[in-house]
Amino acid sequence: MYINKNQDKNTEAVIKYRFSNGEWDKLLDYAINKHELSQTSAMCANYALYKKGHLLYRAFSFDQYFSANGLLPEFKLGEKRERSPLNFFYNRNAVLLAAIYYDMGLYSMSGKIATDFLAHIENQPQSLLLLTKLHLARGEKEAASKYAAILGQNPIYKRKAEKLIAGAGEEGIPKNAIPDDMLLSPTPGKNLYLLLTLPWKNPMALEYYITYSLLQRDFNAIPFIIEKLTEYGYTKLPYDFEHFIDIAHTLTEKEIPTGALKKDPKRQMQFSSFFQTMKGTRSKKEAEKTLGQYYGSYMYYFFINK
Amino acid sequence: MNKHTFKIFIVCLLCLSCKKRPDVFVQVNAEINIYPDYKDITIPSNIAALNFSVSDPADYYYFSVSSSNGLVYNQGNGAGILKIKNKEWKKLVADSEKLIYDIYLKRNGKWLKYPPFENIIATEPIDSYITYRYFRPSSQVIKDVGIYRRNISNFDEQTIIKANCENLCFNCHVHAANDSRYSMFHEREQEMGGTIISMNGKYRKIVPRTGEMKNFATYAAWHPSGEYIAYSANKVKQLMYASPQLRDAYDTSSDLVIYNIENNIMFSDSLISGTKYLETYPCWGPKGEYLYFCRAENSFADPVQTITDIAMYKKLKYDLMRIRFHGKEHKFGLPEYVLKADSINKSIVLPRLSPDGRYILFCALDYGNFPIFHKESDLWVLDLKNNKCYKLKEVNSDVAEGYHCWSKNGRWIVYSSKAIDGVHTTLWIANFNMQGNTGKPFILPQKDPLFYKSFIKSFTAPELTFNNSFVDQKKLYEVCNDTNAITPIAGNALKTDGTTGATVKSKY
Repeated sequence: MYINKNQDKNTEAVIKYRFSNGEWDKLLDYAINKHELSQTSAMCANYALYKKGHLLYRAFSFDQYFSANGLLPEFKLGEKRERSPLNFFYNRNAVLLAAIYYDMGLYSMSGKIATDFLAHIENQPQSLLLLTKLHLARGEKEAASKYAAILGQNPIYKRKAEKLIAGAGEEGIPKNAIPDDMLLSPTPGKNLYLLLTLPWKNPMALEYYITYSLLQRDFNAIPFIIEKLTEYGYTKLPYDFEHFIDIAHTLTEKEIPTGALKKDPKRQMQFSSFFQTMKGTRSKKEAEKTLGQYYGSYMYYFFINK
Repeated sequence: MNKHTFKIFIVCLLCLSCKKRPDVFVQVNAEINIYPDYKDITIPSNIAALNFSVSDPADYYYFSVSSSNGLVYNQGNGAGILKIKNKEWKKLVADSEKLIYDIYLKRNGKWLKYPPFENIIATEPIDSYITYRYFRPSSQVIKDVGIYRRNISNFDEQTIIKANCENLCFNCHVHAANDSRYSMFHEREQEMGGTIISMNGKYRKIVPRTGEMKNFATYAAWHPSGEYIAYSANKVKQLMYASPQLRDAYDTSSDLVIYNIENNIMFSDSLISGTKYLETYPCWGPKGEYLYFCRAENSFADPVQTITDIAMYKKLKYDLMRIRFHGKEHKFGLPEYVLKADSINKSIVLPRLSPDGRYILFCALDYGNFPIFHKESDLWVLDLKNNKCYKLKEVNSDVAEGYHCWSKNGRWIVYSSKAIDGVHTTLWIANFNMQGNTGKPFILPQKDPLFYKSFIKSFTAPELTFNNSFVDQKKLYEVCNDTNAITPIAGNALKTDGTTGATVKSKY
């Protein structure tokens, strides 16, 4: 797997800039108009979709070429001298992923990435900023002050660092938030699953888990997702997930109960029409041509993106 | 008087008023807060100046340090920092039994005086040098790792060896009997790794594995004679937790081996190696007759992957053992229990005997064997004279205490702890008295009292030495960069055919 499918470094730079500034609409407008995105750009675009509340129905409006690795890149944990596909500890992409995990509440993963990256590049501002926030979240004010002190030497971040420390309360994350025995997995899907088994609701983890399962084409995740959607108060099936269920039903020929979650008749018609068309096509070439008409849908991703 | 002269006059007047001890003040009952905390401690006479800052806000600060030898040192400034030049400090502590600190704070034009505090100056000095590593903490990135030696009497720090590229690590440095002329450390690197042994200025690089050894030599202990080095050969794996515990390290296998330096022979015995037990952390008695070590039953799955595995791992406790050593014959007696884990319901790791052989200082954890990753890790002592075992009260915090060492006279200990902020490891010094207890510990002093406020590297593996043997940097770097290393001859319990002690390409 290559680090950047898209050799256009400018695209990635623009997307990363907008990510750092929280300009989600602009990021998405830019990303969706690009034919190909790099892995890092895909990761940022998926996060922007989540921030806009669109992850569960617009994720396939751009080419998810990197599959689940474009959502939450995978890398080996604990192995020394590892050069992961994204070269995580050798460029700023690592900090972006750390920021995503921070938002998700998986502080250990966020801190691990940020700490390792800081070991690689001394005084890197985004790492320092994230570590300040992480230590404050954990109630480790003294440690947070250290990172803020170093960050404050950079005039661009001085005020931000001071503000963080000044605004810090004494409370950290609840001590029973994540059980002591929970291990971090190198597989993002496993970490997401474990986050969802905890006794506190994590909407971001749920959306990411659903999207992850869709990208992995993991039919086995369907019952758990339905259970969680119900628990989280959803009344209808998310757009792309409904297509996923339809595909699962068609390919496995098994009924998939969705409980109280309602199906959308329009989506049902769309899938039915798609399926009829695919059934009628004679050759692989013809099938691909037909599928091309569904570019931007989950159905297109499921059958085309390998 | 012209303008220029007038200005100079005003400045001199101000300076004079700064140096003058306030004679009108309000006595405050509250304790003053200083950073680092150097209040009410026992210090060696040969320590560097204990500079500190006052955390309580004020417009101006005045410090007066009185020594029992009659000397007084005064300093006033607006920063709230007491920074004594080492030369002045040496005069204060010379032939002195104690220092008394008087601190005044000026607020809204009024002086406040805080209750004084005292520091006792012990008659016994501490070893003059301390060797340690420091690096930015990381679980996967190995960069900028170095071994350094600091003169405890001042702030001079020399680099023994430092990595100039990534994925190159130096670790597990040890000395024989606090003597820096006998020094060893591992160089971990794919092509040129090995174990560097230095004796009286001569360097040798060996492959830290030979014959039937499953793993590379890891934790080391020099025999007090300087003739042997005991190693545990460990396969260490990391555990990454999703919880605030963050990470742990455990051994999937470990055995003990002894390296005869002169004959280049590595040997062992089935009593201290094998699959039934995990043997680790070797440590010699002061006369070298006994080898002390930690041992646990190898009873959990490898690798630890599931919560079930973790439940098993959390039952893993190490006992403290010893075995008689017959050096010349390369033979051993039978392993004996020194302290069972069950007796204190703790895992016993990192034993270090005091130079007089009376006390064993060790880390006690709830389970496992890597203290610095265990918040509950504390320093305990076993008194071999009366078999009393107790947790040291003063030195332990509610975060991890780890690697430790004794001074040559047995009156001081230096240990690593995360007490400064719960995250980064720093080095602490404590007086160990004749009653087997310590005084209040204090952090290794730095020239800048605010050093620890922004230092995000972690100190590890403190080792005290009474001397600072010359390090031939050019030679040392040549040896480290050499991809050739001597393979030790496989001796007892390690023999295979063909291990001849030849120099081979290091494939570490």
